[in-house]
Amino acid sequence: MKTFRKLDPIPLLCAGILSLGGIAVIWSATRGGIYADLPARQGYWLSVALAAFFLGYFADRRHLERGAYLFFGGVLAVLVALLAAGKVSAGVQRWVHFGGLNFQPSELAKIALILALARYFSRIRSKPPHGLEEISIPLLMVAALSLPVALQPDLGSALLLTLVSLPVIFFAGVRRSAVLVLGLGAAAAAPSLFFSLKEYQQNRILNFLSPERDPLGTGYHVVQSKIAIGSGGLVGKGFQQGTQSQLRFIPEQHTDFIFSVLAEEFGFIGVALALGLILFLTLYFLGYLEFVRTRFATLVIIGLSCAFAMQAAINIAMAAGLLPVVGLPLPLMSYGGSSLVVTFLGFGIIAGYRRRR
Amino acid sequence: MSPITQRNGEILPGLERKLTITVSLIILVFLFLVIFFWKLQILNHSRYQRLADNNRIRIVQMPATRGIILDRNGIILADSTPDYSLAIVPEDTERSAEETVLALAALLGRDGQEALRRFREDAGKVPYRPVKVFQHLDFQEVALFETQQDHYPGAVLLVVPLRYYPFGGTTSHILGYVGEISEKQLRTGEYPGAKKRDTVGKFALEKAYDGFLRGKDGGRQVEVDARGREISILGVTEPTPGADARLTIDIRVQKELENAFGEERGAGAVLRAQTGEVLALVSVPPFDPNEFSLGMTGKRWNEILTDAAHPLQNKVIQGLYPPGSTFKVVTAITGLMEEVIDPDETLFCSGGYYYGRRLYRDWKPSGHGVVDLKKAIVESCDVFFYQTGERCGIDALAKWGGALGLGKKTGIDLPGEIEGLLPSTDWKRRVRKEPWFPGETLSAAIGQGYVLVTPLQLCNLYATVSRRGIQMDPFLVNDIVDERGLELYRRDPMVRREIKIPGDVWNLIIDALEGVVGDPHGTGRAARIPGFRVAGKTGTAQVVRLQDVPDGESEVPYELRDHGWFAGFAPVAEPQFVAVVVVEHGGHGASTAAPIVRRVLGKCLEYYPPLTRPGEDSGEVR
Repeated sequence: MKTFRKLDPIPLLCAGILSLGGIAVIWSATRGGIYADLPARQGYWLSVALAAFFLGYFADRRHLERGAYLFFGGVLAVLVALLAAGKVSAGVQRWVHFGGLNFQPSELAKIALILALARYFSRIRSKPPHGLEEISIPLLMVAALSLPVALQPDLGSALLLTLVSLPVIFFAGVRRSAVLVLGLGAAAAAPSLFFSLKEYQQNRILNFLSPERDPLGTGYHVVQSKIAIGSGGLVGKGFQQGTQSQLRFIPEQHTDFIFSVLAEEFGFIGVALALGLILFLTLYFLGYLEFVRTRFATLVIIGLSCAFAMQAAINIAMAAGLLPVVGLPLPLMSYGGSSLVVTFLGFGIIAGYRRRR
Repeated sequence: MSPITQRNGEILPGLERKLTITVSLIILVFLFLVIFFWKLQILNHSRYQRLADNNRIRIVQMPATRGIILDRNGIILADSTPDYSLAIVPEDTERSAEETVLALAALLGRDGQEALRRFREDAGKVPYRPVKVFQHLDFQEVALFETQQDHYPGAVLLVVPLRYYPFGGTTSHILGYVGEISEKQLRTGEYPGAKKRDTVGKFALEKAYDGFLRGKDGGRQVEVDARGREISILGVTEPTPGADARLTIDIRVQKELENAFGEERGAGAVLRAQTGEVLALVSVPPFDPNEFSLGMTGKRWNEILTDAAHPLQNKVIQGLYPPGSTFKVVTAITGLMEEVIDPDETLFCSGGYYYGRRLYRDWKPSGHGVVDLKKAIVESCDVFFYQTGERCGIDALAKWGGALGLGKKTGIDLPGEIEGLLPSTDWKRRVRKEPWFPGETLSAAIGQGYVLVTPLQLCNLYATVSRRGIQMDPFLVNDIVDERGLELYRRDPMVRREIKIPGDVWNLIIDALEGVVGDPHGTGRAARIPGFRVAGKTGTAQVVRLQDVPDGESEVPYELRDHGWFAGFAPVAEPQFVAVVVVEHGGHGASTAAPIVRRVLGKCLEYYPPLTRPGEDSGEVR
């Protein structure tokens, strides 16, 4: 039996520091505006997230593995239903409403995909490395979840779903020939994929490739974000003292660009601390591989840890103008209940593997 | 060997090697991020600090120029002129911003308190956004400010395109006006792509074609110095000017029609019979659209809204009038098509007609004597048409009136057109919850009672008659061309429907309408144009029933006087122009409306002479 006493406190501590720090930055970023109640709401979400952590922690490992496909199917059904509802109301539909709460099922899709992929590779009969035939089903799984998310349209989350599947497939083992074929296929498909995007999405990519295309829109926002970061200096301007953020020059500063606010107000020291904590947490989780003996558990730990690190790195690179702005929250820190709860749920699942020594 | 491989080696081959790769990759990425942030925050700190110091990056709006609107001959009806405004960037002022506002008011000799009020209303919402304080600066004020600029840090001159209508009220109901988008219009999304504070078309063509005319704003991203002056341009998005629209209107004909009204009120329209192009469209009184562009006070706006003459109503498409005797062509066509009257049949008019116990009077108390259909139209005999209407029944009148386009929109490309009313037994049961009384058919037969038309409907009806059943869609915008010369929109004449009526019926009707103008006893003699064959029909629409009016017209109060109608077209052999005029409370159409139609048709024939010489225009009616 797992108990609270056997719980490893270190991951929870790191995650707690990052999310509480996140609430502080959200507080600063929304001060005096129409979103001033968001820090309190994020605090409320944090308590829900804690419950989600223990849900993942106490969940029976066998059920986790057996229920993986069912979970996958459920999330897929919700995503498709949302899309159908969105067609009716002709708008962006990425939310499920229940009991006054709004939940973004595309967040849950990350965990569903990793669990389903891990289960597939844990039961596969042939020996790795796998050829095209064996990995066609996992690729279909990735496509099945990414496509409805991309059509929402939420391009960032769809890309992230594709990316988080890569470590799992990599560790499961793929033949070089299959990698080559897929790489060429993706390169060939990229142009047609680009032209199937919505105009504003195409523009975002083009604007990233040449920021001077749109000095008033995205380009302006990235410039403002960089000014915020750069002007923070070594120690920052101080809590609630960031001129860029307090004057609302930074776009989406409590969600996608939260890191810019952190960088402005807490400086390079704050940045290094946050980056260090995120890196430490990821590596610490990968260290849990020592405790597990099954393929499923190994792939789940790798998938969830890498997903966390990847999303964080992408978000931070975006704020620094290193990647196109695609609209992804920074796990643990950005405002948003769905992201926070799902991240903690994933951490809970990883933490649950520690006990089995 | 580490414990990981010992335990998991057989589970996933190469796990340790892959883990090493992955962990190194993750560490590398995070290391790269740390280094990049070091570069931004430590190495380039001073540069970003300078940019962040009272944020040096500004967006300077470059508003798009609204597309111009031309008449059919290329004369500008709606232009965009540069308008100078003086704005304050509160963060850039040296003294307090409000002191600067007052100092500038003193410099320009303008009302300081009013400027301060405007400033307080708009200031402090978005940092570093210029707040417009003085609008519509004249040339001298601009020159004065430019020489003194250095004494007023934080003050900037903004150039904004301003809508200008060179013909003022003459084109007001066609073009409409522009104004700042309202909160409600922003919310409802009726102007796609419009932002807060954008100028949008609010009425008539400016509204209907706003998407083409508005264009797309651009802007410059600039670095400014501590006083708010631009020191470098970081990026530019050029504004996309709005596209230019060319109308079917001929401003000369339009002015002629407006002037012909003199002191009278009413509405008029001129169509090209062959195409449905609107040559002129006048609703009197007009309003001054330039007053709207400059921005008006709430008080002035209320004055316009509550004006008893309703200057904002476009009477051509929104005015409802009984058609009076101009409706008799519908009754005549119905009678012939339903075969209840014979072209040669004669009736006797003694000046009134008893139906049941009620006397339906003729406008001519002494009566018209023996009348056939042609004479009934030429002299506008009411008694003849009471009886024709009685034989047809209201539903047959509704059927043929509807076929000729009454009771429904003409489909002109102006917003807000209304349908008019063509009564029927079904309509009365549905809407009034009452049965139709047969006596009401008699009133309807001479265009009174429930029948209501808009001047444009009637104009289109007479165009259809002149074309012998071919009904066109009237339209105002010929084409729209963007700044690269690319045609974005082109309207070709469209036939709405062809009404199947035999040629001899048309011959009879058109011959009679020509008699209205040409015959010695015709009621429309005032519409004669020397050298051309003109056809038409007078009408007098009662505002109140004849019985209720005391004798002697001069004693009737203005608002109870009859509306005067005239509908005419020319040349008869090959109709080119159709004009309809209603003069509100103008008394008999013969004396008030017919001379206006004569003037405007005369101008049309002068500007666009028919290919056949006037002398030759006497051939057979085809």
